[in-house]
Amino acid sequence: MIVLRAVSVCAASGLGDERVLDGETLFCACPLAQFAQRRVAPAAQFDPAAVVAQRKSLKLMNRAAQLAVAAARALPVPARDRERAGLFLGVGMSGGEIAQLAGLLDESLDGGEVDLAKMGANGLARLNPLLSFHVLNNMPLCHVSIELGLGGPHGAIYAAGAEALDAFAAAADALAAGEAPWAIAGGADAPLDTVTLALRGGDERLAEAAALALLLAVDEPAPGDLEWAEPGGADREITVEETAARFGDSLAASGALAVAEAVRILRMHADVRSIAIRSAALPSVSARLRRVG
Amino acid sequence: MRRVVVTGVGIVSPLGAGYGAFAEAILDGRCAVGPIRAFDARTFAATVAAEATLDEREVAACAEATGCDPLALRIDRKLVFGVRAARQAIAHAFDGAPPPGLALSFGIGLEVLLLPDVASLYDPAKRDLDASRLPIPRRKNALRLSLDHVVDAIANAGARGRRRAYVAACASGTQAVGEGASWIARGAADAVLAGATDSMVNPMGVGCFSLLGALSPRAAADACRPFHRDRDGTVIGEGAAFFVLESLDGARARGARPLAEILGYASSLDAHRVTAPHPRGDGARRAMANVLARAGRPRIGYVNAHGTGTPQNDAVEVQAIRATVGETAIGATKSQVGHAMAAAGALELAATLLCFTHGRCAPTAHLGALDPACAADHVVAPRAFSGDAALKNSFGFGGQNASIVVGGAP
Repeated sequence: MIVLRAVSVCAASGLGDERVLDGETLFCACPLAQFAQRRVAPAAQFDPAAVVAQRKSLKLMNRAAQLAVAAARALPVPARDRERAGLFLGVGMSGGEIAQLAGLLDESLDGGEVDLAKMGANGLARLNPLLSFHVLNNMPLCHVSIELGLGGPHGAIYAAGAEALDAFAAAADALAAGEAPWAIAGGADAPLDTVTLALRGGDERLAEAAALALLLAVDEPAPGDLEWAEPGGADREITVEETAARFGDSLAASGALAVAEAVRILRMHADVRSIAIRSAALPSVSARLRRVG
Repeated sequence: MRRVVVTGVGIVSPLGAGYGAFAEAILDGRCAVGPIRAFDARTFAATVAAEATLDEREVAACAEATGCDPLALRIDRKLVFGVRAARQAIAHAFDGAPPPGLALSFGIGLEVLLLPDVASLYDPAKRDLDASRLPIPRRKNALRLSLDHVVDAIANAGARGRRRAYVAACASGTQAVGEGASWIARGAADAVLAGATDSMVNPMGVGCFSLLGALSPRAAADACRPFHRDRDGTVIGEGAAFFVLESLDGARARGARPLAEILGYASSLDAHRVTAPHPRGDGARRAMANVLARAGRPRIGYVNAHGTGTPQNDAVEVQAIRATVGETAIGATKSQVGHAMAAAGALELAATLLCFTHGRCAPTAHLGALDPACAADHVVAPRAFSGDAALKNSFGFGGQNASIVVGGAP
């Protein structure tokens, strides 16, 4: 049996287990001046330096990686079998802070257009050599693996929305096949960068978030475990879109945040025995959690 | 577990498009590395790459089909390459339309900022995007070509079943094929279009990889020379490779002729550093040891190595191969087609299949003076394949490893 034992969330409402989602999400004006009219939900309450064990790695981490590591550190991760443990995350688009490119653009523009000769001769030297590590979209997964020493099967699954649910399915498949004794699954995204905000409509309330879960293959579930079941009928249904409307749309993390919300409901309401998690926009991915015992 | 076979291959590579042309060029020992033509790179630290041909008719067709601006498709070339290779693979495998449930397991790289767009919106005084022109109207080619549009375009080539896109840096292609094979083995899909597409042959791609010190600074055809004593970096390549995977029973039932069999797949994480591989290759060893066990420990006659030509990767990989596989023939296809990043594993898996479709091992080009730390049985010129199976390795930036074992058609 595949069970979900614990979830962790790093979002605007805090860092911790599913109870972080009890409170109201704190939306605020976007701190980027060009987008000050936008309502966003940054995860402002956590200090990355306080949660990252490998301090030297901090300068290599983009915001999504920091969120993912914070959530991972909040999970009760087993000490055993880490070399074989799996890691499956929904991850988002590449980063897009124009400030990181300002030096390059200052040296490379000629009449409002990029002059490649100037870019090669002078512009590129103004870039942070480590910029690639901030834009490679697999990095949240890699940093979590390094922080926790996870060496087993993996999957960084590109997620524009509900696809993070598929990261849970991939983890459950790996556990069922015996490829790992336990795994972390979830999603992380930080879509409050200049480029993403410039591309998305003004009505969207975007949010930073990471939500992770500890999944295990067990013969006998422990008290409090929830079964990660095949999609099917359930007492209650929640959608990724409803979750995003309430907590803000965290894009690649939104499917994982819906899983955390399902766990919160199951643990708060004894009469709810199972919850189906679906996406209206992406019907091909769905999940179901149910009580055991 | 069901047996999984390859029934179709599609390739767009720096050595030509189509599996036949690719096979002929690889086994001729040709090298596609040359001066960058996609943009003016004369003042860049790296001035060579292995480029695939971007056909303007295909750009126009993709622009029409996707609504993307042709300019974006010329800068971020992976969509056009991917659509062409996906269509080839489907046409290779199926006489007519592909099955409606054909799934997609897809490896992909990162989004590339479209510098002309960024430049047009940049306010030098504020050193940021011009607030008065934001938000810009949502269009498919603005600022960067969204990965969503790339995934949709590949799916629309004929894979309309379940889909999943993997981002594992340089291991994406191998992972996508391996996971797609696992879907079939577990019964989660009957047929899968699996592969990858990528291109970093653009100013930001070449510039950023140069800054990392990953690219050879030499403007020479042999700039990428894996296992060489004087190797000094890799060369950026590009392209796409897709495979149609089916259950053996399903392929036989419809009278398809398999090209090869996927015998096993495994992945692992280094959990070491994002900037460098594990110094002993522990993660690579785990991936290889696990895939060999899952494949039933066949006699491996050939390993197509990740083989980047960087000082750090090659010696560690050879030691890991010798420790897990034993003495076997080793080839590194990046010496001929460069490093196609997310697509590298898929292109190199196609080179690995030559063991079974042509009975020949793909070589490592330019291996004049072997690094003693890389000592092994290197395939310096194509040779006859001898063994039961072949192994393909891919190791991604950040420590994501993937290995596949393939065998001959049943």
